[in-house]
Amino acid sequence: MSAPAKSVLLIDDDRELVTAHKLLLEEAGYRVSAAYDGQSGLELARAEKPDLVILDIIMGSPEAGFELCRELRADASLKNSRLLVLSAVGRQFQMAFEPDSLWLPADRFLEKPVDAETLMAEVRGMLGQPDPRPTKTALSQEH
Amino acid sequence: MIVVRRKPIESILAFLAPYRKVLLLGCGSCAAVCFAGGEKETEEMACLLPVMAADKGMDLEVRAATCQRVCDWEFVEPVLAGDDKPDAVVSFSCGAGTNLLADHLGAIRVFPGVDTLFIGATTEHGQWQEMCSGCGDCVLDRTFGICPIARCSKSILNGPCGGSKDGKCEINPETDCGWIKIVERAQALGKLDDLASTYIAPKNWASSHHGGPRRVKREDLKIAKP
Amino acid sequence: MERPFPPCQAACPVRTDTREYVNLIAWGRFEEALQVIRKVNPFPSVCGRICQHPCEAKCRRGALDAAVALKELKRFVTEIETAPAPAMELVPVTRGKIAIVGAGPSGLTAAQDLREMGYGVTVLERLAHPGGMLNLIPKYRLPERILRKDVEAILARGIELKCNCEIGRDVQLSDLQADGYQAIIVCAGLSRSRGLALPGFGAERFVAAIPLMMDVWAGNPVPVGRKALVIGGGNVAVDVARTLRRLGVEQVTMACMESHAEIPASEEEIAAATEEGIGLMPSWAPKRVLKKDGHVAGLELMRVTRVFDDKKRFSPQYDPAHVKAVAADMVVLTIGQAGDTSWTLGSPVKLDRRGRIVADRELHSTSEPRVFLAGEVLNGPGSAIQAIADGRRAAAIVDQFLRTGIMKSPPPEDRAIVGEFPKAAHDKLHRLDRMPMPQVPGPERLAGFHEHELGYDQAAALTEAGRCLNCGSGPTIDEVKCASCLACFRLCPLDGITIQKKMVAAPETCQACGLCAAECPQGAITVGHWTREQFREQIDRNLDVARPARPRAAVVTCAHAATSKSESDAAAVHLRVPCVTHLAARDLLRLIANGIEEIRVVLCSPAACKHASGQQRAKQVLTAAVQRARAVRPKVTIEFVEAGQVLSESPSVQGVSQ
Repeated sequence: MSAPAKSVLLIDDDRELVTAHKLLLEEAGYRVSAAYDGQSGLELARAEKPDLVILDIIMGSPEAGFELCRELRADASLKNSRLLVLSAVGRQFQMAFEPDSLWLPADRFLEKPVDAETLMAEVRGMLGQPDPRPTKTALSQEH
Repeated sequence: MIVVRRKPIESILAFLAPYRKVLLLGCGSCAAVCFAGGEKETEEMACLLPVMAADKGMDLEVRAATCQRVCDWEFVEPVLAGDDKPDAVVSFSCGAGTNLLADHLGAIRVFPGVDTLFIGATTEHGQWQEMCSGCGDCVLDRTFGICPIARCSKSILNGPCGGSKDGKCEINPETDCGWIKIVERAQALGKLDDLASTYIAPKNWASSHHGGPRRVKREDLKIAKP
Repeated sequence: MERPFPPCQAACPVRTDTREYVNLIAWGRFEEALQVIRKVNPFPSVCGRICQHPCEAKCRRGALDAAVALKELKRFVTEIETAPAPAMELVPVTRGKIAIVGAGPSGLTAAQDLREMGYGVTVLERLAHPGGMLNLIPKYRLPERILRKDVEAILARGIELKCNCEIGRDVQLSDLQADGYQAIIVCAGLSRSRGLALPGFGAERFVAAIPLMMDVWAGNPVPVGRKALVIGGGNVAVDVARTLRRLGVEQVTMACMESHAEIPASEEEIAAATEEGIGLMPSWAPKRVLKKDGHVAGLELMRVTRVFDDKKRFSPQYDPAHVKAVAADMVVLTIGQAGDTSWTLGSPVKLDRRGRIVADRELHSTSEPRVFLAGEVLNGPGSAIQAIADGRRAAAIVDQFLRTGIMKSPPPEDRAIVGEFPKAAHDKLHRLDRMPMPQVPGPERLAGFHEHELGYDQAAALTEAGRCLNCGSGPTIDEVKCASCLACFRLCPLDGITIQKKMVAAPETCQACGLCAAECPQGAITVGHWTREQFREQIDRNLDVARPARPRAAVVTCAHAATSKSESDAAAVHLRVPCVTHLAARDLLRLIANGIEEIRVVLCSPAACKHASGQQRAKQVLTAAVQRARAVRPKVTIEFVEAGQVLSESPSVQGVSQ
């Protein structure tokens, strides 16, 4: 008996990119939905509770993008969703980002541009494995 | 080297009658080289003495130790350090070491384990012969390296004496006549005429032990106290 | 038997023979000192300025008074005016060619080593100039000409350099592989600043350290505010802070997570920063960027209660209720660096699940054969000297592999290190203060990016080098020749020799004064490199040179008194000993036998002499030797002359080598 297909939510204001990634993921057998801004992305996430959210950061201000990431993670209803940030924010500001429990509580940070092979390997890796993501964010829980 | 010969074990035991804890101190220098008082010999003694002592009803505790040489206190000191001091020490070094020990040890009695015989050299493995008597005023330049004081029984300075017979000494027929050796040496070197015309005047024996215990003091080597 | 490593050499990642170069400096032989350093370090001038000197941390003098200023002495010799070097003969290319990505310290060291082995080497550099991260060190610490000097000396060995060539963009790894390079060593370093996704991110003048320092390096206009907050506690954060001060920022404060005791920046750097009016806020972490009209207006900080857990792992804890808002119009993030791995995209070099290059740290290898890593890209953040050592290791492994097909890391060293100074000996040594580094006073430094540490002059360098304890120099006692006479045991001013069956020397105690060697009746002792035969050669050579004249006077100078004014008698034979304590009776007698009637021994004053108690003994023994010689030469005299003032210019002391 096969398990239900894993679901992925894409949140990115780059419609072309979203289309391309959607095709790629659906071909691989995932169920994909998309949102093109932070607010609708958050709502859709809460409604669908996807297995994986692939999130861009710069969809307005990068500050809002990072905040969205924190909101997604803090949402109790989304505690089983994996979070992959796929963004060019690092290149743009000449900084290297890595997930951290306080400010960028994602499971993984990938820099754009990324090729199909790398993206799919990442997605497969995340959806196929048990969940070792950080459980504490200092702001929301006791020390 | 200084040639020494071990005293008979009975004599050594006799010294030790009043004592209970005894250290046998070996010397790693001359005494070892003439197989009389080195590590091996002192360990042998350490084996045999208690057995003999027990036979005589003596209560004797024996320990053996050897140092590089006994005539420099720095080598001996570490051996005697520690709380477990012996009541007596039997020194298997030559008399020089034994004396130095006595000078340094207060309440601990010192005995000789050997008889100190002479300054000599090895002629064959296991055989040593007296070569030098330490007269302090060497005449070997005139006698072609052979000592008339040590190797002539009468210590004659212008020999040989009339008793020399077939190259042997009249006092001990096993002893080579020292003066015949000197003459033969001179002949071999083509210097017989020189020898014949050399007259060695009577020595001033003050430089030998006859002048009292001797001392050498090198001011140039003296280490200043800090 | 090999002598143990002195602690300075053992601590140096490239095993610089520090003791040797320091002693050569002390003896006025500066060129030779430089050669000793160059033998293992292709960046001597750079290291003389910015090395983190792990050697000084282990210098045994530190337990006595203060570590010898090893880095400053290195700087001193790299600055001496030398005759222009003759054109170097290039090593012919007899083996294949190797590509190195990155012209930083690890890349250029690997390049030099491989070039010297006969490989053809091409270095590809992303930026317009070589030097890597060394370029971003502020110019008041590392002047441009210093970096250039070392880099040019390396490239002059026939290494091809291609700048403005970025792997992954201008050239792909596969292009290099197709181009016939037998191996590729990627030394791309950690070229990106770490970012922090703080609330308020994106405000104007919220920037990262590397782009800022790149702009400063390029001479680009850098918009600064009047009050800056630098986030971070490492040496790079201090560099940024001190740079901002020089760019005119009136108030610069560093805020870091670590407590004062844990601050990673060196004490020297923190002291310099403080002197330049930079504030320090330990145990604070950023919480939110405060903005006004899209610009930085300040930073909200929160208290850090702990940085490391009890297993010393990085595991910070905060008190978010304890906050503090600090006004600022500029915030610079200096919280660490990361590598740029985008070049691996589409290449056979694999990354792991956390985005790091899959590599074997022992063998420097990646998932792709013949592609290697070296430096910070492999090992994480480190110092320049560590990068140099790592480049060397990679080069050795690559060479080994290309010659034999076997991947093997260099075997670990198996050599003892000189132990701690025994307390009893310790107490007998003079305390000598470390020579201070002349500096431009704090306020004057901020006028620009000129160097503020001015370097030792010759007098200071000679004095400072004279403080070296010669750890592990000896003595070695030839067991076969030793007659156990006890002379060395009794003479040693530091009680450094013990009695076992024969004499055994304790390398921890010896300061290489040479007294024991001079007096050993069997000539069984050697101390340092000084040997009887060498001195005899020196004597003979100097007498030869004088012929047909037969000089009547000889001047023997203690090397530490070498540049004093005392002696200028041209007709005399001039000889040099490391210290008068090395001079033996037989040396004087050799001179006397060759017609010398007047002997003058120039030595340091007892107050300055490192071997003061030995000096006393040496005088006694040498005087006695001359007394003995009077039996044959009644007129011979010996005089001990205290060295005069040390010259600030180096007189010609050449021609008198060991």
